Amino acid sequence: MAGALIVGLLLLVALLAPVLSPYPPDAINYRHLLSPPSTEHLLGTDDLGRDILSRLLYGAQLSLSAGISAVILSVLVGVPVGLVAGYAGGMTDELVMRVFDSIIALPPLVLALTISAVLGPGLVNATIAIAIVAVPTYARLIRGQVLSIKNNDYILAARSVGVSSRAVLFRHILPNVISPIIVQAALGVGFAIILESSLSFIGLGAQPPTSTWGSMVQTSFQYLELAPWFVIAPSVAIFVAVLGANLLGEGLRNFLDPNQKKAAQKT
Amino acid sequence: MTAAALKIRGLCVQIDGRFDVVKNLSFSVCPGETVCLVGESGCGKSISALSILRLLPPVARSVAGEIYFNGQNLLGLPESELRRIRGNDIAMIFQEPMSSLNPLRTIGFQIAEVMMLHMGWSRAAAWARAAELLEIVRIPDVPQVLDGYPHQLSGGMRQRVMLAMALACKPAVILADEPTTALDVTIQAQITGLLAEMQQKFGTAIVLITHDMGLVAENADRVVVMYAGRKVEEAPVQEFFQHPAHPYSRGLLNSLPQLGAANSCGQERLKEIPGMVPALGDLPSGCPFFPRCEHSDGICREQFPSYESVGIDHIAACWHPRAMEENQQ
Amino acid sequence: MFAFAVRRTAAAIPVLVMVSLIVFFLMRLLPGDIIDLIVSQAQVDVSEEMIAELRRQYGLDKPVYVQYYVWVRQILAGDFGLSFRSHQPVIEIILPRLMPTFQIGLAALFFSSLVAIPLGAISAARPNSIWDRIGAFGTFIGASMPYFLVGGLLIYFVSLQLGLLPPSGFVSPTDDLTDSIRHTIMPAITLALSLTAILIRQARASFSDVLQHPYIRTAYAKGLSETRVVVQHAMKNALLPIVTILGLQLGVILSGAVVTETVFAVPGIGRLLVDSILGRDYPIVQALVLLIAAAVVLATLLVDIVYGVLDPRSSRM
Repeated sequence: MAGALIVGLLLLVALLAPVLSPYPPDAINYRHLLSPPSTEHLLGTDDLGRDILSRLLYGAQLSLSAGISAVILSVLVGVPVGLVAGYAGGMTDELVMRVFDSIIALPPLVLALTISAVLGPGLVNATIAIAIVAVPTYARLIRGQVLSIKNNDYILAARSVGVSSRAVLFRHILPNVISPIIVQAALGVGFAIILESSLSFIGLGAQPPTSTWGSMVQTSFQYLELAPWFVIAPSVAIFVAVLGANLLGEGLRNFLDPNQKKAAQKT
Repeated sequence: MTAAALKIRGLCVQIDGRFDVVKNLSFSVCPGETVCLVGESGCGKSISALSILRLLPPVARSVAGEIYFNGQNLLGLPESELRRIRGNDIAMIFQEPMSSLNPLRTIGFQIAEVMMLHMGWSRAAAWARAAELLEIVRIPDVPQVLDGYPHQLSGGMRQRVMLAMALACKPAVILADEPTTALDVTIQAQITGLLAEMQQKFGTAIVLITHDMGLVAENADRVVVMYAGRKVEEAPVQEFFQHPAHPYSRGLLNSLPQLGAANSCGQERLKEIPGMVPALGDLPSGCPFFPRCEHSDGICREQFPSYESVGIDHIAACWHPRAMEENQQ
Repeated sequence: MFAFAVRRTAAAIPVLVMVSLIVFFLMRLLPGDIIDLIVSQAQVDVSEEMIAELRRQYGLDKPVYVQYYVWVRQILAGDFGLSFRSHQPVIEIILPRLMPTFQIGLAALFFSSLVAIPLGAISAARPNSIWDRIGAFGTFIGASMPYFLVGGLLIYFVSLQLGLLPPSGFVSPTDDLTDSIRHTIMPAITLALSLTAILIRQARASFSDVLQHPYIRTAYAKGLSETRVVVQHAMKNALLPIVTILGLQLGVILSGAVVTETVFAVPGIGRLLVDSILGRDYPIVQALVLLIAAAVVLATLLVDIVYGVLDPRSSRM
């Protein structure tokens, strides 16, 4: 499980940022502007002479928590909506799904940009925008699962003895449809980190002095020729985090879905 | 006796490198002769046919033994040389005419392709010959069918197309894997009739794989019975129907409705063979049939019987051949 | 066939209506409307009565559903309003921006198909081979790389260090074809990366599925080589679902265009969207979002219909 290892290490690094950072993340040093990597500054310094490694470590806290909170938010909204739509069926289902179809017609980043514009720039608003973009994914996934099991005998049995709809949904159906959601959530964290960094890169995410990996890339890009390390360091951090989340998602899929695992071994 | 067109010696096929799907299978087929490979589904008939042309899926790539064609061991040939034999000298007809033709290529292309490949013919020549072949297998509206797609044809028509494809290069051997199972009874007779006609015309050797004893009675010259991956009996067709030696063969024949018994309807029930074909994983040691055999005793559990002659050209692998006949007498 | 196309088209209409509703209400939620803009630009103090009069002029005093109706009628007539900043008709601003995005997107599709389809085919024909492993690895890398990392590396090495290609901007192919291509290569490769990741996966799945069919065994039994089996018998069948996937990538391309056009300073619609959002030029934002959504819905529709034409089996429908 390379994915779990990468994600675990990144979380640990983010938590231990105050311990691991060689410098305070916002210690400005005008005598070392844009200095290349050295033993003093392992990843060099930025345009204000701040230590890039320290900023990356602190940035990990914000980037990762933005990604994870976005996923938690969209799961919290998407799963109940999908559960209810799939279970209720009929007009409710039809309406909810048509709305989601239309939301999906908007490319993720375009929608996230527009919602960010409505909400105003900032990391919290960007996180909310990303969460909204991802809601239909979870709702549709859970709805499909619910549709496929809602007429199973044990569900019908529970309903026939008078178990309330809410109890059937949360006690009988939810536990049976949770594993694809876990897989999707892991992949979703990667997606959320990419979206957040793109929004910040464009200037609609974290605003100074708050700084995520994405906003570091935004600042650094104008210094690409002078200080390529300044661009590469946060970009690679984003890449590694997303790769870790994707690998974790794949790993979980193989672990939680034995059918697919078998199929994967066969081919 | 003429030289065999195809000779199989000690063929063994393993799945996953563990389970013996086919074990120590030997038989041969002469030009103009039809050998029927019979047995219940899962007994290794189709696997044997596929392994002759090395068409097995990768999980079963472990194939041992010798398969002689034209003095060459097919199992020892490099893939490139084997490709020259496939479809050219040895052709194959499959069970599912619905799915064995490419749905997105025209019928004409699929037949002509074989000749362009093996005979080096031009497209025009190959298509012209494809039209003739379709005439030979009695397909109406040939020009229309040539440019048409498989989904426009009925199952019987598709199997005729498969037959035309198999005949394209006048192969010495045709391997027909349950060619009529998926078809209606009347269509079945037409297809086997065509097959026999072509055999007479070209002297083709045919290996016909089937579990349909009626088909065996009508078409076979010789019968090879397989059980759990092993040959248990081999006999000329008359001899086989009159004096089956292996208890399993007798079981197969007894489970058939007999014409003579038809008027005493309901008086005598069809006999079934008790028990089930053993799963691949737990083949019993000894004779694989012993758990279902009413004549089995200690020796059957311990050792697979050797092939003994029980008549003219008739061999069986059984410790107690004809046990039932003796009982009845 | 015709009836099939009509049915699919009819099914797309409710989605388009819903999209227009979403865009309409999102735009109402944006901070600052046209009245605020006029007021802020006015040289004199604006009284409450004047504001009320302005609202009447712009129809903002009417009920929301009337506003929506008027808005939709204008859009259907091709009238997307005037830009807040330049006061030009929005449609005149958008049209010249389509070409760069279209050209780079098409080039990206071309690059990724060129890599992904053969790689997917080999991976499927020879599972667990070295090619299959390269494909699986590439899928993860491609799906995880942010555009600005690829773009940054390309600009730094290819343009700044080696001086091979221009680092930014766009030249129209009608002005100078060679220069236009030179400007297209790097943004297209950047954009192609995540597309390739998606396509390899789809191509592999599609080919493995087709290679399971009995007619593939028939093709081998005819004596065809592996290459001929894959090209002559599996390719056409496997490409059908891949074509579908290609058509559905318009959303990915447009999403990617937003970032790549920012990285490479390409004057396409992605860059226009970013500029308009940052500059609060909402009529342009509204028109772009609407057009992008409509394009995605229509692309999906087109793919459905093309799929129907290419597959002779579905012509019976």
